[in-house]
Amino acid sequence: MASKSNERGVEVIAVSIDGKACGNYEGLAGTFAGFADSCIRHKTLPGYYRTGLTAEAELKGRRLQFVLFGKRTPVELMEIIDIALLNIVAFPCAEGEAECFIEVKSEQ
Amino acid sequence: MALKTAQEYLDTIKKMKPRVYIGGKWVTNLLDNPVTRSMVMANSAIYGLAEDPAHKEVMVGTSHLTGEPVNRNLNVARNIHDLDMRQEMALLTSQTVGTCNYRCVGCDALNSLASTTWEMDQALGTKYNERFNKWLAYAQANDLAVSGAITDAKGDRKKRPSQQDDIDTFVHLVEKRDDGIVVRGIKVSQSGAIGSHETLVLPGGSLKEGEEKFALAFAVQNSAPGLSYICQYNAYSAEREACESEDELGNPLYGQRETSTMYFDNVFIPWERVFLCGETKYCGKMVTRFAKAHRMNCGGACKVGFADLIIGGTMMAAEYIGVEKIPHIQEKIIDMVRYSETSHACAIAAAMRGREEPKGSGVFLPDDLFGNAAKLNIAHGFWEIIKNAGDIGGGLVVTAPRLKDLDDPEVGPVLKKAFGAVATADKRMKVAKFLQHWAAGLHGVGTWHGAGAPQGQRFMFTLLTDFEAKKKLAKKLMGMKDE
Repeated sequence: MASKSNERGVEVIAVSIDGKACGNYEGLAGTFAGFADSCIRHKTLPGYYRTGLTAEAELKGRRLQFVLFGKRTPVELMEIIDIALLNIVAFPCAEGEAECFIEVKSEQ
Repeated sequence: MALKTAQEYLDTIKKMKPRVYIGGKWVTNLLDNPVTRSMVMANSAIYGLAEDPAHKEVMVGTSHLTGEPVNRNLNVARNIHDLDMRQEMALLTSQTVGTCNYRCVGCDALNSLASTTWEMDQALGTKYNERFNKWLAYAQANDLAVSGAITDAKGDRKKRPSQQDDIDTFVHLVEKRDDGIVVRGIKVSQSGAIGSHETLVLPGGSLKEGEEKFALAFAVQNSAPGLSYICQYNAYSAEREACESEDELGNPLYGQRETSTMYFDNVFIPWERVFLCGETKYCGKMVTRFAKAHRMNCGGACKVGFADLIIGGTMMAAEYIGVEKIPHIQEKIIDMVRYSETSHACAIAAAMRGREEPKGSGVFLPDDLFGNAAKLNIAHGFWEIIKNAGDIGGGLVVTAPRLKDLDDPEVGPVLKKAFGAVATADKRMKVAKFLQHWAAGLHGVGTWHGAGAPQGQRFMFTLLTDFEAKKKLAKKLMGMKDE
């Protein structure tokens, strides 16, 4: 059975930083695919073209795991992801069961 | 949240980081660069209009998807009233910002998509309309600023897209993947994408069998990786960057008209955002439907709003030197009104004679002939209007020193003596600068080419006019028999 977000043509993306859940974002269906393409093929995040932020990225089904270059606090990482998601027109949302997952780590 | 406030729009744009180049540098923040800021502030003012109860009828429509109020820039016209309010919106926004409503092309593009994707689904069994409606519902729910990109770079005009030495002169398909497509190529003369959330990309013209890879329509987020914007740069850009105060400029807050060249360097577009991919037969319809909407709005209403501003400024210039009652001055001002109001009448007629297209789609598009008449009339009329503004405004329109020079202890008193007349020098110079913005700015050529150069409208006149019927009428009255 299709979920409510599927019926509306949107998808909910859950973001976690260093294993800790940090919030959900809603975007048009396909937003997660665009974000993953950015990390894997372009090796960057939307809105951060010239900085080459992503060190490693791996996509397993609807779960994207990646590491950002440089040592950053969880708050700094979240700020970057928030801007990157907004730059592909996904917005924070309170409700909804996530279908996609973005797991971010800082370089150790 | 169905309607964003101007401030809410600005809050999102502050975080948007499209890859924008202007005048030798990359822009890191659209609001820090004075030229890109003028574009964003114009968009912000358009959002503001929808907040004003006085403009609600014009600026706010009702979503046919949800029944919720939506900004008219994201509304699909479902009846004659919608078409009429759409053209009134073009008039109001131009009167308000004196430059583009940068959501305007996106609005006309989405109306063309609503119509054409419906027709494709009916004929081909595709799911484009369903996809498009989901995209539109999302755009409406978040009141996104959506611009439109139509014109390809085109290269050698004698050659078809696939014959070009460099096919990047046309946006084209590079790869089809399970999750979407990869596109590359160049769109030019694009208004206001830099300060939008998304851009609707349509084919630049009709395509033939064998040209499937150029047959693309999609929505792209404006910071999608691989997408770059190379902004126009001209004397007005340099002046805005160099001036000490924007109050000295002809259009202080909103500037001239900011466009960019959009370069798609292998940009990924998820399938959910793809509304045509390979169906060459429908490209011509998609572009023609866009054009008929845009010619009504851009030609018959937007430029009329500009004309209102120019006429107002010209009358002030006449009054400030005491010539407003001279017959030939009055005659020239009446001519300016004649050119502009004739075009507006064509826009209103295009809306009133609008019809559902195609039947059953529920989408209303303006009458083609009147829309083309609006655009063709203003393309010629606008030159006359700015000619008369320059005539009545006088040489000062292009010879005035800086407004700020009036404050200089040495030259200020001389300038006040030189340019003081019925009104003080500062008023005369302010109006002269305002008229310079129009008469010596970018809007003459912009009006000529915007929504398609006049040759396009002449071609449509040839197609849409039943010359044989006119000959028959004449013959009948003359008593001539058909051979």
